[in-house]
Amino acid sequence: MITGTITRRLETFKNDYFKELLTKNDFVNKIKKLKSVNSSQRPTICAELCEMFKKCGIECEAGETDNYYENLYLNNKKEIKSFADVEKKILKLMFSKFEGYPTPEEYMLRMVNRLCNPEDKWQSDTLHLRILKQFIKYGNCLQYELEIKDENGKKKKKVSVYGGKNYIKSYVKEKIKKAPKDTEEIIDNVDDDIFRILETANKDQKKQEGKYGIIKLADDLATGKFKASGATKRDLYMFAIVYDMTYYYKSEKEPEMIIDYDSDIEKNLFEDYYANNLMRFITDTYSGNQGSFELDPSGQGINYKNFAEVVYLYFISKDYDPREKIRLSNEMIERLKTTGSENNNSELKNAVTGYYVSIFNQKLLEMSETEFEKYVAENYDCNTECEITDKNTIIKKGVMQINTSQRTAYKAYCELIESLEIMDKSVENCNYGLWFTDVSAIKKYGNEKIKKILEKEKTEEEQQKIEKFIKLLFGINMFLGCDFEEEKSEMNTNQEHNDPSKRLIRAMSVKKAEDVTRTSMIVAYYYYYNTINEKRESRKSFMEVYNDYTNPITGINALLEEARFQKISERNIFDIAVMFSSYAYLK
Amino acid sequence: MNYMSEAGSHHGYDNSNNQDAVIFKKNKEYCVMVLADGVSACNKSAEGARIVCNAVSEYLLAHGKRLIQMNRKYVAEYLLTYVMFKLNEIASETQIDVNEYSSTLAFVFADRRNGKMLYFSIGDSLIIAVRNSGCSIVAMPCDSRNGCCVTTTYNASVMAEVGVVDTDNINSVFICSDGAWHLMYKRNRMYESFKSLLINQEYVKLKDVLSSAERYDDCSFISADISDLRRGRRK
Repeated sequence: MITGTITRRLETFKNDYFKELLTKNDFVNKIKKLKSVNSSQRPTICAELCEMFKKCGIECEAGETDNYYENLYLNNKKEIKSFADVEKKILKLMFSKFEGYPTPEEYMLRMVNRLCNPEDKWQSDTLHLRILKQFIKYGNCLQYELEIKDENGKKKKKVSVYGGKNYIKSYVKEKIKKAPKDTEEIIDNVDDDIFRILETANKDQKKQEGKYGIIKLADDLATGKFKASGATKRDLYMFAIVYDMTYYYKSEKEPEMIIDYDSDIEKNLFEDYYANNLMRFITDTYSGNQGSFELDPSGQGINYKNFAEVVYLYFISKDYDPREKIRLSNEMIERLKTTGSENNNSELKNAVTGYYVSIFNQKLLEMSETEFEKYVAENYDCNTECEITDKNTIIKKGVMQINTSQRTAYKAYCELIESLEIMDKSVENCNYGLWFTDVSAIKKYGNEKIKKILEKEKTEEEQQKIEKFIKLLFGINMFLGCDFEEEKSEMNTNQEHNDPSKRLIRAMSVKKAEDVTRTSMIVAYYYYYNTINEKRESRKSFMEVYNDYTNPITGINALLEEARFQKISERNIFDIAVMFSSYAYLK
Repeated sequence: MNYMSEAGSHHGYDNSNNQDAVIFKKNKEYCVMVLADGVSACNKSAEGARIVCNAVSEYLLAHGKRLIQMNRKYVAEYLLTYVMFKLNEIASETQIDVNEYSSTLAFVFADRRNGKMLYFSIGDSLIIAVRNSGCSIVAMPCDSRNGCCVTTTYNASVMAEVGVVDTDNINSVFICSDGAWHLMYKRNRMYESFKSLLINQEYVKLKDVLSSAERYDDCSFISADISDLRRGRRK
């Protein structure tokens, strides 16, 4: 049995955070609480106290007397840390660990390594080249032949789901000075230089159907570039098909089917890779170029209400050749755009995702292709034309953009905002962002203060690491709060602090079910949690904050799970930073 | 009963380094088969796997009758407490960290008188029930992309897959380590050739095929047919 590395590394981080942020005060407060609670609450507090001791490597028995715990604390006081400046401690801790969090590229590399055919021997190639070769060999460059019947008989027409096959051929032809005789020759001669064309290509050429569509696709996937308007979703399904990824369901026809966690599309692509992974802000890809990317992927993963996603999943679950999957799925989507759009049942647009999750089961997946297509046409919204009533014009939506609203998530989000208002906390005041560091001050006064806090050597390597860390803090704060203007103002510090305090941030002003994201829900919960605990004058250890956030009944996890978002995870640096910030705020 | 347990290429196919262990025990009333797959990264995992197989089989023959009637949660807790007791015993004797003895654990325990069968799995082993109609999953391998739950994992009992099934309509039961099922499956689907070997209960042939396959990981399986699982029944 072989074990992996990414999560093991992150699990260790979580334990380190718990241990490093436990202070003498936390023990004193807990023992005080133990003495004052009634008998029904005692076992819970006792268990929490024991966990705290164990995190510090101190053996502890549950169900003992107050004296036992008090003495245990006094005898081991030296082992327990004490620090006055929480903010400083958090910054140092985060700085020491942040490079250990995986970037989207790292997740992609892990997937490609697990899913590739070792006999291809492409392991030493760069990641984007490996992905491109996979599309060429296993997906015929995402091109298929469509049979058309007319009065002259049957004709075959080439359909390119993504453009670029001709360019790849011409690139190889130029390199080897003859037309490549087969796919093998193309693969043997395609190299990293083919990606250079993206530097000079215009926007249209880089589009899906553009001249370099597939080259851009391979490059985007390798570097974790998430494009807006659902374009990334289609890229991911194409990737899943050529890498023969799987979709698990409880099959009656094949009861021996298992979940293959290495190739499962939901676990690997939608949970690990396509998430709001803030580590991408420190990659070269996003550096200084954030505007052109989807900054906050919804976080919901597979959208079971979207007919195209359902069609892709149907074929991904089949044991067909990837080329067949590409052809059959895209042909069916094209047909459904016509046949399905005739069904104008408005209820389809308003149904909740839970309903579509429940119907996407073994019965549906084991239907014949004809039955399945008919079912989708009758039960899913396939209308790509969306009427704008006030301007009386019709706009076209991409197939991946249909039915993207998240009603359950939006309802939970609105309830959090309402709870804040009930506590007399205006959403306009919920913008202070990260509490353990002042990102605005870094922007205005430079990095010197943070460098001083981190007490690092002034080596070039350390300087670069600090720069990266600051980029990450900016990235996190961009979702969580707002900052001062870059230029120096006439206002004094107090005035400046009052100025942004009335600004409404994006995550706190979601107005449509289509726009709610996992990040906006966490941000809303962050302000709700800080406000309610501030009012209660709660003083919490980091472990308690973590347990509050992840509580399956009262924490944000309950809301995230109901909305089909990923739960709070120690694998996500944004989640960890938010909890650090709540901890600092309550200290 | 049929079994195989052979080292993979990362142990140079040398069986003295095999970190898997299997055990089969049967008396008039009960039948038990256990498979444990030692964690590669741990120094004493082969020994740990053997200790776990012995301890669990002994425990089940002595207390299985009660366990089969218990709430699933308690089955896992009692069993793993005993397993940890045995592992801690050897760890304190050898002064080696108990985590070095980590392994997965999968077993079935059948009451041969009434055909009830208790199954249990922590880790990435696979338990399959073979029927005339095909093979069905009894316990699925867990997610091991990031390391999986093993005998020494804190709160492992919460992660255990435990249940009781009736052996009616079952022809045989098959437990295998991840090294074996990785060879038998392409992604999430079992190869037809392996499915046919299981349905036809050709376990000797299965052993030959797995034995001769090129494999990185240690590879083990153990199977019992209905005559082992239920008294008075014939294969």
